[in-house]
Amino acid sequence: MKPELKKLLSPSIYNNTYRLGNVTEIRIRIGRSLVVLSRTRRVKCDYICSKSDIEYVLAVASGHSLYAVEESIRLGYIACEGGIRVGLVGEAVTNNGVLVTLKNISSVVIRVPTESGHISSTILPILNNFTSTLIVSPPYGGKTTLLREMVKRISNHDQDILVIDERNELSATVNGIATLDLGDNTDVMMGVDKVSCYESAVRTMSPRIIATDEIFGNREIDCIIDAKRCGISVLATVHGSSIDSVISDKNYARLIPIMDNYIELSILPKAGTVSEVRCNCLC
Amino acid sequence: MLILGGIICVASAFIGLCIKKIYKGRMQFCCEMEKFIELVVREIESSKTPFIRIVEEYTTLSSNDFCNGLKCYIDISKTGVLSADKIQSISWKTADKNDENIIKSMLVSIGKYDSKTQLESVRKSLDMARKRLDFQTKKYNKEGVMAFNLSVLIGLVVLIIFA
Repeated sequence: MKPELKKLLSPSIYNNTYRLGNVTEIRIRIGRSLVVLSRTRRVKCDYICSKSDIEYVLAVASGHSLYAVEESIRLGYIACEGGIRVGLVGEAVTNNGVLVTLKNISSVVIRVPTESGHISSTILPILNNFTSTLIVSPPYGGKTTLLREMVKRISNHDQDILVIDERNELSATVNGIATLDLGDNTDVMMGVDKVSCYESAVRTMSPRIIATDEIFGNREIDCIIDAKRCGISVLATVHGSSIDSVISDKNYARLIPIMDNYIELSILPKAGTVSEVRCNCLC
Repeated sequence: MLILGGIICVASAFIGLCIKKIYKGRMQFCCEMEKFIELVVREIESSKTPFIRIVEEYTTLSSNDFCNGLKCYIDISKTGVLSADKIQSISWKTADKNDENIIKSMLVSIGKYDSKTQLESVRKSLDMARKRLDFQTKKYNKEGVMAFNLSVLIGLVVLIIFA
């Protein structure tokens, strides 16, 4: 088990998980069974989680300083060393209808990132001569892992990439240092919504390519179209069951004309399986 | 007799010095505590620096009784949850118990709240620390110095008598 993950777990939780290899996710819910996911199976343990298990995770994840991570708690997560993300749900605290923070955390999900280091040969032509590409994947399809790997490879080909890492999933930045490798020529804008980032960082950082996860909503699509018009290529992901489902979805209609390549991922036989590549690039 | 008088004189001065040192130690503890809590307020206010990092950076700059206690806090933090019992077990050799309680209560409450609430709490600790620093400084200047001067005087008187 990764030492960074071990550190986060209370002794009771650790004793119930350390025997399971390749842990990718741990779900702790107060009063419910501990659930552990690995790459190949989901295990529901006999151990019933308690409030103190969650308090333990929060204390270690926040460095015993909840005030230091209050902004990310408001967004529902805490980023930890080793790229581990702790997702939180609980009781919302609002001020004039605006979410301020969460309290009485009732569930946490600890996700361990996978840096595969491997990329399907069907994607290599896209990397060699990169133009705007959309990765389509269902949940748990491995799109973030693939996006990260593609960013790293493109960046190491001396291409300046700006990564808009809204939820700190791509870089897993902790105290200003990215704990996951995104390549030598990558600039990371972390913790800011995509629209604000497009308006500022794109103008100041002059990237050749912008990479971002989970395109959603008209405003984000507008920004991508704007970036493309400025000559910047885009590498992005969307949730979808297939390339055709995204192409036929009216919500993404304006995005389709600017994308040159599509990569479809599947969770079968395992997460990260490339089921289809449509390449319009010069390859 | 003169030698005996001399020994008593030196012993008396030594006792006075020790008493003065105790008062000085308390004053220095309060001085360090005030400086540290002030740093905590600044760091939380400006950049919401995690508390462990503030402590680690502070303790690398100085090496004294106050910092040694903070190092114990770091050691405890590595074991997991920082319970009140574990923090209460930290002790400082030179501190007055009332002064110790200020820093301990801050250590118990730190990191449990949002930044606004945390700042309010730490600022209260800072106010208390400043008051205690004032108190201990006055005590040192009055009682500590007086104890030393008195003990030297008594020693000299004894020396003269024995002489």
